[in-house]
Amino acid sequence: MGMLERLRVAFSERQAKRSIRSRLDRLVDEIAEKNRIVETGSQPIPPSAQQHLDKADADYRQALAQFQEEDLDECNRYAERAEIHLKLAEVQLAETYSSSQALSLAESGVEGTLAQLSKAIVDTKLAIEYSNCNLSAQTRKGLINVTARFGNALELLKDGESEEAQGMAEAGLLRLYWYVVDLCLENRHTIVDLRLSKKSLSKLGWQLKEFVDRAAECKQRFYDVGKPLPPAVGTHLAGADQAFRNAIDCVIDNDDSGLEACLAAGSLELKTAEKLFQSSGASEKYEEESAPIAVRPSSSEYEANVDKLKRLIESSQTQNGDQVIKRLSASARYFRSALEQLAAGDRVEASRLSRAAYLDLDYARQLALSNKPAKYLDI
Amino acid sequence: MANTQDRKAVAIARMAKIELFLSGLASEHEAAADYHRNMIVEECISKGKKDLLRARKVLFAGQIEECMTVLEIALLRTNFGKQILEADAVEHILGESDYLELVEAPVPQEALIAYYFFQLEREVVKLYSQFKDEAPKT
Repeated sequence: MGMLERLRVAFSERQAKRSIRSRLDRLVDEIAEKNRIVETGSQPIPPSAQQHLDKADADYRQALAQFQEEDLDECNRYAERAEIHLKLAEVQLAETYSSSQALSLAESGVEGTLAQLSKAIVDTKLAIEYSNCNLSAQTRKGLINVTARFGNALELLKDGESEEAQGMAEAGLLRLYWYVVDLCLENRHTIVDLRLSKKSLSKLGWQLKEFVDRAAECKQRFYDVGKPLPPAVGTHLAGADQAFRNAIDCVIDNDDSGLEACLAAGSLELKTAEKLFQSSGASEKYEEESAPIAVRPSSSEYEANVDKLKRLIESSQTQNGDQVIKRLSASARYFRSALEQLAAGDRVEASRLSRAAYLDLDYARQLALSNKPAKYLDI
Repeated sequence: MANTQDRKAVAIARMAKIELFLSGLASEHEAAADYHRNMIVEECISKGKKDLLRARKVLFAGQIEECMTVLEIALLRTNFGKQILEADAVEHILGESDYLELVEAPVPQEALIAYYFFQLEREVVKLYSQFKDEAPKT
């Protein structure tokens, strides 16, 4: 290195040192100034502002130590941190809690969908608490799941997976919409009117929302008749419910073609249910019966609950676990066959099979939970 | 460069406000604990604090856009907790205190197994009751 070059490097280092020195001087002046404001102010200051001032002071001291050791990069790093803490304290000293509540939330994009989901969850909670309406265990559980989806979507977003987060948030919003519609039907009046915005949903998501509306109108028409549903109609309504659940899985997976297929299948189930309802002359045929309307439980729901229970038993090492699982599987098989026989019009066989489903279920329960030998006890 | 500095200033201002919002929520939650301790709000507060810590770390590292995303997450969480707390306050003021909990309380596994058996039994009895009068028992 030539003399000129050495001079140039020495000059540049000196300039850098002078620049950092003045940065540190400014920093210490500002810290002193803010501390003076805190000490002389009449208003109590937010604890977080004081914490930032303390951290700014600590980082300044670290920066100074690094400066003395001539590690200018580290010195700059600490100075930068101290400046950020100082600015955070400055904003907080000028702010109040009430003004911080006016922070605006995003209206579009994944953050907008999440904001709408959180508002919809709270609106539903408020309406349920205020109206003291009937809330089935299934709907309650569903609301808990939707809330969990909100948290899951936030975690996905935090991990940089914004498409997946959008899918999860949309799925939560649509699932909640479905539960609210069901809640209103169960209680025979509007509990809460969730107005979903087109901005929050994809084109297919919006079509799914419209499907839920059509399903609700269809169910409402059936309920308005005030008579039990013909079994075949119930089967197709359950089919529409299942198509919706499958569609929600597609929303989570961002599977547009799967979603379209589920929508088509669900719409077909609804149309078939309506046609069957009209052609069965339900109002005349069931005129003499006064039993409350009951849509038949779907076998897939029963089987899904059996599967959950089996997993639970496997994981908890319940006594007689293998036998319990065998009996549960048998019960699920009988239940499904009973529904098939019922749909085929063989009520005697359906009755026999549903009884068998009960006997095996009860036997499994005794094996799992009782210390006495299990016995087949009739329904 | 100027644009980066502007974005950084926006991020700092937003972080300061969200932090204040969150600490206000924590104080309100403590005050409300006299009548109800909501687990969702607790979770919002603890996760919100972690979000803010992460936002600060990425800001120190100069990753301003990531910082803005994490701040939005912290805001969504805090806002959700705030709304839930307000809903609980309304229920308390109305004197009912029948809170709808939106989180599954930890349940012992045996109780959970018994619960599932109960649910399944209800379903199967519901099905059987449709034809209990017409089927001969053998």
